[in-house]
Amino acid sequence: MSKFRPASDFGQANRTYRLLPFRFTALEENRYFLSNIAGGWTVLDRLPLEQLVRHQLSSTSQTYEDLKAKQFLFDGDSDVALDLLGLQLRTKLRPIKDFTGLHIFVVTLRCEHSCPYCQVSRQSDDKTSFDMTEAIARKALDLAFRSPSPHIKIEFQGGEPLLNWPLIKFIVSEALMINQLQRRDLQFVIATNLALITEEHLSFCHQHHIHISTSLDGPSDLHNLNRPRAGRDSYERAVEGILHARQRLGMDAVSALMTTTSGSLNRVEEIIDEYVRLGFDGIFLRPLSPYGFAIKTKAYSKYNGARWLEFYKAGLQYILEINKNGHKFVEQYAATILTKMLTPQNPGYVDLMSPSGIGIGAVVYNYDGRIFASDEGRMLAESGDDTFVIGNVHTSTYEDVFTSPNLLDAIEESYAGSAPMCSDCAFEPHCGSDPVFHHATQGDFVGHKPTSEFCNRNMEIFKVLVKHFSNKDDQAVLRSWVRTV
Amino acid sequence: MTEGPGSSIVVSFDSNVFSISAVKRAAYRLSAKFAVEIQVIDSNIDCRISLPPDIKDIDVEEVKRSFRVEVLDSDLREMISNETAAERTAILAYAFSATGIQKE
Repeated sequence: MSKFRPASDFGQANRTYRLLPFRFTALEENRYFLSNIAGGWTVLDRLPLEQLVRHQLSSTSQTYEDLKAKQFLFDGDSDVALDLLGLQLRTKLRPIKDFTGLHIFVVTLRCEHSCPYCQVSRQSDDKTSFDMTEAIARKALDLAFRSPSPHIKIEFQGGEPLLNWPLIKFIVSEALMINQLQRRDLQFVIATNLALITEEHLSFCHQHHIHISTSLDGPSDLHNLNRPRAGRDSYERAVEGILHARQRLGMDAVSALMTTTSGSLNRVEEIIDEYVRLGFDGIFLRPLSPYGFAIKTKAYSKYNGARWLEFYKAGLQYILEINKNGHKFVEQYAATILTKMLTPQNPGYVDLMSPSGIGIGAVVYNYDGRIFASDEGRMLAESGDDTFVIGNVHTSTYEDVFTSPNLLDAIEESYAGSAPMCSDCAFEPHCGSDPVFHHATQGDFVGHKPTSEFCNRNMEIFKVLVKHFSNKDDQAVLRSWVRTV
Repeated sequence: MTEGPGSSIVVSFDSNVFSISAVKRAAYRLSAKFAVEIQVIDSNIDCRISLPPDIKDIDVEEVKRSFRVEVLDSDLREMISNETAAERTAILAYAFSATGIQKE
């Protein structure tokens, strides 16, 4: 008798199989993107997709093996797939358990810039009544440290936060003192235009490992047009500040964000070149948001979503070419999405979280003591819409804030897993729900997805990334971005 | 009925083959461009698609075809959802089993 069983014992021509939960979305005519419940994905033509669902797929085909390996089906050999999917999903959902990690302190509304696209209703720089006080800051810190998150990031925003520098120093000192007992992973970021940065500021930042996040919209003329200030030297000050801050704090401690205005639309390559020239390792190509001054000055309505997508796609193509020419440079939004698509990690980017990250991913303590579910919610309130006010440091307990109906209703109603169209969408595991955007643009937390700019923009970006991913050279570049988020 | 901008067209489905839910979901997906009125008459699901008056050169056959594809897709999605309901519950239960959310 042979030691081995015959080969036929191992190769069952047409095994019965069961489907695992998955969704599909058309990429183009006859081509579909499939994702399983934990976000694992593949691309299939319509015929094998129908064969899969109708149990007509041959178990000896390569497609069968691929779909089994990627947990779209299971058979007698692979019922461990259920446990694996559960484990993957648990890993993806883990950050929800950590709860709020980002705590934004609006230390002042004052600003010496007068940017027409500003999403905040800034105040002139002499009105100290728009400054946060120490009493408010102390109460906000108490709430921040009630969060169970092992990571607490305190971000100072404005206005221009450096205009209330004494309070930043106070908050950092208080937070460090509280953290002597709490032992959290505590980080600080100042979101500043850098126009007012001094050696004193940088010395303090160096001492306390504070990072800088600044704005850079592109070449000098574009940046100065977008970001007017007395002296018309916003760009010069920003660049000088970036170089100075890097010198004192290190390259990685300084990041920049750009905002797309109508003046940016035909200049994506110049904008990217500017970031490369200044030694940044990536750029976040961002559209304007429908809040604050951007609405009042009509900056938001100067281009539509389709035009921004052209801008984005051209930028992405250009960045891929830069990489293929040997210079590593990342498009940050793509990198965030790719990290969600290709790893079990959830980068925790609030706009791409479902349940929505408002409140539970980031929370905002306003200069006047009001607490907002998100920075965008704060911007809406400055325009008179208090939908996302979830408490006040003077009167609300931690429990009041995080069980506020204004927070819970928005999160529950907007949950993409049960929203119309999102619940069927194969990109849903990699996307998010944005109740603030949909409330601002369509009047409710869920929105009408077929006409939602958020949905259209993200769907197009997912599709363009998947398309690039089918090109071997592009795929190598895109994969290299994943770890950099 | 004239097929063109401002008018409407009817696409019918057999309710023995497609669920009303699958048709509704497909209609929702098209709602950025077209309004769809759905009526069930005997074993037919009749969908009246209103063609917007402000759009010129509508390819009516393409509208019908894309709606039929959407309904077929919705039908496939329902088949997946029905077949995998138990697995979905098992996976979600496992995913949430160690979160500490539930109290004794």
